[in-house]
Amino acid sequence: MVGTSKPAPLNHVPRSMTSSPLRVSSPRHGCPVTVVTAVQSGAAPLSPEVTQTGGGAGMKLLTHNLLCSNVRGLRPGGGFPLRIQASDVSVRPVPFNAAFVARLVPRLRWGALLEAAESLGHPSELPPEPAPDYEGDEAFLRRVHHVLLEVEVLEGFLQCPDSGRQFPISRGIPNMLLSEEEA
Amino acid sequence: MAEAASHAGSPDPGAGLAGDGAELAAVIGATVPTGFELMAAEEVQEKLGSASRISRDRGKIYFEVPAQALPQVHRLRSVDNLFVVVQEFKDYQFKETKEDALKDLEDLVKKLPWTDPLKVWELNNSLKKKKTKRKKHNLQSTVRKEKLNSNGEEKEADQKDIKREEDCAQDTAGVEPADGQDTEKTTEVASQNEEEEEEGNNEQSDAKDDLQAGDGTETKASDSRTSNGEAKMLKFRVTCNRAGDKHSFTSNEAARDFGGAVQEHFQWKADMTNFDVEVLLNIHNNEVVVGIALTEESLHRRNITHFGPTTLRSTLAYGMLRLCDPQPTDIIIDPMCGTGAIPIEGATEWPSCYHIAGDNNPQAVKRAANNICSLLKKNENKESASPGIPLDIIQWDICNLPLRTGSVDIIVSDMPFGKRIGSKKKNWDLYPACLMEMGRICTPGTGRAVLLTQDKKCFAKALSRLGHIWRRAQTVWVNVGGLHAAVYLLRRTWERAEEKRLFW
Repeated sequence: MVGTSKPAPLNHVPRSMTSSPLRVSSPRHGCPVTVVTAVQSGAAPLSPEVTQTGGGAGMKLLTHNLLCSNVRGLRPGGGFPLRIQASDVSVRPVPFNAAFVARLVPRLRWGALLEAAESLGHPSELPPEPAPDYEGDEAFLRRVHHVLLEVEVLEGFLQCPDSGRQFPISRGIPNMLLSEEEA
Repeated sequence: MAEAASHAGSPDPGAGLAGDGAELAAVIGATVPTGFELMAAEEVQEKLGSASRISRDRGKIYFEVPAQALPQVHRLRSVDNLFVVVQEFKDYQFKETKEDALKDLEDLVKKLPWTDPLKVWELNNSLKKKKTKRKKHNLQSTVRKEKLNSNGEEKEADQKDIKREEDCAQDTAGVEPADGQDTEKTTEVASQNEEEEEEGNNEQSDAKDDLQAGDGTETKASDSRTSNGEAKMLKFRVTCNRAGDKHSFTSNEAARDFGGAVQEHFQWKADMTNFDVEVLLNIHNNEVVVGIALTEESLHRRNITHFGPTTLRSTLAYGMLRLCDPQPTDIIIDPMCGTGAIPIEGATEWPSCYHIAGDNNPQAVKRAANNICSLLKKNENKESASPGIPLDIIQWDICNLPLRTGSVDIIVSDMPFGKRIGSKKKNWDLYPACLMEMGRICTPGTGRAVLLTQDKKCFAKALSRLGHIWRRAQTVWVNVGGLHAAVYLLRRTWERAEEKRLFW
């Protein structure tokens, strides 16, 4: 039931990264824009002492819905939502809990969720807005559940829509640390 | 001088343990992180339906349950160690001289009601045997029901019972030994007697240090009966904790003499390391409790297989989480998660909440990920991969969190102490920045934070400047690895955070 693409080895450069050019936004109101290449995007070098074991979980879209860019000097609303460029996505089942999902719906940034699901190749068949009676619609809730909790991003990048800054996701863990200069 | 004890060996095997088990009641003593006695009592009430007494000897609670409830007792998340009470003396009058006082303790042995507690001990052993077998077959043992009813449909979350003494030691795949500074790691020493009593000296008998985990002792215990149920020779030891400044004897002396009398009475063999029965003699001023241990190694490391230098024990993590009263669908963040003790405890015990763990340190992040991995592996069975856990990890900077303003309900964290990580000087700048950023991401009005710190002065100062964002609701004084620390429950005010980044 778990569909995983081949786990990316440590120094694998995701295809999406090399093929698409980095989006560079022009400076706005004197805000410094940092153009960062994939390699230098703030990923801390893996220290020899601790190896991360494989088989772990990846970033879920519920988390993505809460994340925003922390780059300095963005224009209002410019840091959300982060664009996902994923090279390794897996699906891991999670027991369905209708009440749980129903309570989450009003807190979600709905548009961002739809966009994220689409970008991962999991078009969610979700409506542009939740219907007024969504709480009782189990089929709807199950689709939301799937997209929020069962799709995991293992490898890829999160990109700040305003600055273009790329944050790598490695083994399911996004690295949102800024460098000294950026911070 | 004692006559051939009528209690030679174990209790009468023909007593029909199965029949007795139904009515057999046990008074259980549990050690809990000091300061969280009330939390623990709440958990006991909730899960076992029993009321607890909180002892004046801090860090202990007592409650009565039917012996058949032992499996549930073992699944309590707020307790470090368990024992069955043989007898309690609320106001024991010690004789003046050492010789007399010790003789009294010796004489006490044959007067104590050992029978039922020993039955409970046996029952407990058979439980442990079952657990070992189950673990070997890697089956899922407990099915826990979600508290949240979803449209009348009960959701069942299959979860492995990860609360096992042997887990901590046996899952050695990636265990990194905590370095010497982590005094929490020495199990019994830490869990039974961390407090520096104000009243006076506080000792323990030694020879507890080399207590090995699980295996050896377990097989011993299960072999304690031959095939036809005849009692075999049991091995035992006495562990004495003594606190108070009016006693004329040391814990070593008490353990030794009491042990001598136990040996005479039961004809058991004394063995400091490979024992079946651990008799506990707890003396706290005039409160004396005699018990028999039901746990061999503290449960507090149960979730963590990959330690870091300051890994928080799970029981403390549980207490902190309980303190913020998580509600279903609450979003819970630990922005300085270290090896992930708190979020992992959170995701396990409050699976209807959503948990995010973060840290700036790459080692910590990796260790946390590995710990989650271990959890996932435990939940695996042959048919399918393990279900997902509502927990994500992110590498981030606490002072500049990549989270939307007001998007989080609860923040629970173990803040850098300044002694093991960072320094006091750094805390001076770090704490205000942390509290501000935590205030920003936290939901106004309903949000709350539970923060553990040893640097209370620095914390109080930082908090005093942020009264418009946080107000102090409760403080719990705790002991962490010998350091006096505090757990602060803060409530987020209704005031909107000063937007560092404009709200969108």
